[in-house]
Amino acid sequence: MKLWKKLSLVCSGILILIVLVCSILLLAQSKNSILEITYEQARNKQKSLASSFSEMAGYYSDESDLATTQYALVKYCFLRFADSSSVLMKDGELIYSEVSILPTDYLPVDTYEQQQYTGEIGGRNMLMIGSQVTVKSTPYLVYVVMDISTVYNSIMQMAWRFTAIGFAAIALGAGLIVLLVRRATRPLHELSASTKRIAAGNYEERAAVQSHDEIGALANDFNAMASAVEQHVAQLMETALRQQLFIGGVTHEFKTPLTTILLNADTLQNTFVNEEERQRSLAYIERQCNWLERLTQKLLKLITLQSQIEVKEASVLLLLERVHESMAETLAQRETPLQVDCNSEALLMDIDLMQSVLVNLVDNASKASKPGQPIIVRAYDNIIEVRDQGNGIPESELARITEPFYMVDKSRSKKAGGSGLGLALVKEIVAAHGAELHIESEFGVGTVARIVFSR
Amino acid sequence: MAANRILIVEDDKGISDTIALNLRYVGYEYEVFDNGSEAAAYLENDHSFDLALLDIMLPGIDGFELFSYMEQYNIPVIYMTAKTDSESEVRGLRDGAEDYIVKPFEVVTLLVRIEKVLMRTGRLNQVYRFADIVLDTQNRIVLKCGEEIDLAPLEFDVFAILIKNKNRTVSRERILNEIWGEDYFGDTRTVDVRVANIRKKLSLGDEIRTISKTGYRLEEHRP
Repeated sequence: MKLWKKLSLVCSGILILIVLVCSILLLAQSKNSILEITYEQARNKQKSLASSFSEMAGYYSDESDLATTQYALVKYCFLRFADSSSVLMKDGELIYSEVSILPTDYLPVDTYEQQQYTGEIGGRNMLMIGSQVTVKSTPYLVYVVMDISTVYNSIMQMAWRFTAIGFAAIALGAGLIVLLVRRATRPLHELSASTKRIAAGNYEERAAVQSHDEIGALANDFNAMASAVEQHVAQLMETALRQQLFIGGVTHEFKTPLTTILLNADTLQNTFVNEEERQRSLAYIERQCNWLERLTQKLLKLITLQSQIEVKEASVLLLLERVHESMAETLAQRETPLQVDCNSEALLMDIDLMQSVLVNLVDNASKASKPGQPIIVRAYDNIIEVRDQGNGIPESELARITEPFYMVDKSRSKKAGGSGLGLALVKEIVAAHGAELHIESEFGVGTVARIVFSR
Repeated sequence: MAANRILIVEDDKGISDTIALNLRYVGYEYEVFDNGSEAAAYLENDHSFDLALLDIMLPGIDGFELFSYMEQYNIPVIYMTAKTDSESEVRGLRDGAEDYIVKPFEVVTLLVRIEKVLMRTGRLNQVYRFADIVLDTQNRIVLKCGEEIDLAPLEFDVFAILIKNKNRTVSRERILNEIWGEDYFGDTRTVDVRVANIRKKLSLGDEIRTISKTGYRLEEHRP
């Protein structure tokens, strides 16, 4: 059962109970007080009737009169105060009555105290109040006999009205409860719907719940979670896409040497070539195999680098000397002067890997430079930079140069023996050191590659 | 009719050299360029090519751009591409290229595609020469020293395959497939019988070399 139904049912049940108990108590209270008022009025009426009658009758008659004229006189005196409910009796004999009942049958009275009877007589609710009065030592009975059915009727009517009002209150209350509970639980439905949409893969979905209660807090937490999930998914997709592009690049790079090998093998096998051509085909095959070997080595390095490397404190001066040494011959051939300027003591690194990074950067710089244009390698603080005055890199290409297999001038780089993996490797090694690689370049002015180590 | 002339534009020397070598041996003429712009410039003066083999990734102007030059001079194009994604294939063919071949490929595949495109565009040379023998596929005539030699139809077909692929080994299976169709599961010895007859009728001894376990090769003896 849904929460809103449960809550609504429980609340409505409680409401019904309260309304019911209150109505019954109120009704009982009202009935009693109405009856009490009616009785009180009747008692007062009887009391004043009895006393007025006895006083007047006492005043007008003396004892001698009583034998003969007493009935007429007594009756006269009684009638002065009587109405349709008044009854006067003497010795069980009716002197005056307009009601069809003989009160003494139900309420025999023999004291001066007021006595009361209520009961159903002939289908009517009757109220009788009676007391004895003495006029010149003669006892009379004075009654007030009232039909109080109307009072009961009005009480019944009141009861019906109470019931109707009660039901209306319950209906209204229950309606309000359902409305409020649904309103209170609606954010939960929205949250649930959002969850489903996210689960279906719509990771940008957010719950639009803006209440300031616990549900609002839950929605905020939920949205925070959804953001985290979205971010992670995006990251995973990006990684997957990068890997896909990388694999595509690898495949593409392998195809050219493979084509050469396949064509030459086919030629050697099937074409009637002369010895010179045979040697040339073999040389092509060998060269392309070597090239594939170098390519796979680099790829392997790139892949293994993605796991952790071990760094320790190493002298920057030593590093720069090693770079200088290993590049000296190549740079001399290209007539590129190299200046080394070291102002750093030691940095945390794998010195062999960092050497290959700098060799790569210096090699790139020399390829971009004309003979005579110097390359400056400088170390200061936590930074090592390689600066050249060569061609520079067009701004549009700058962002892509560290992508695997990306080459600014594809055909020229290939002839120079480039794989398009150099800077990708550099980037990976630098990243594995927790350092950052920044490349700034101005086309036609030169390039600065800066490795910034974390402190 | 002169030999078919083919334009090769490919920046990898290992590939272009080897293609050129094989084209030369089977009897095509060719020009090789490793740069799109140079090829385009050359076409201004000389555009009597029957076919162009174009790489797509080229220095200078790329293969797709080069296509408009080919169109201008009415030269059919076969792309040689390392791009396997269908997008570039669709683009190459939609632009009107006759065919494309995906790297890496074998020589035989390339030769077959070249022949098919030449045939489709009506440019295929139908007269082949080997030493003192002339074979005319259109009129189905074989001449040796100017005299007509009577070859049975199947012998003619086998010899046509050998001469079209001269200096290249042709397998018995390929001969069977080309002549009898792929559904034919005949004995490869039927090929041997035809070849023996051809050798006799055309007085070709060593020139039709038997390549063990493979097939035959019509070899041009050179000085």
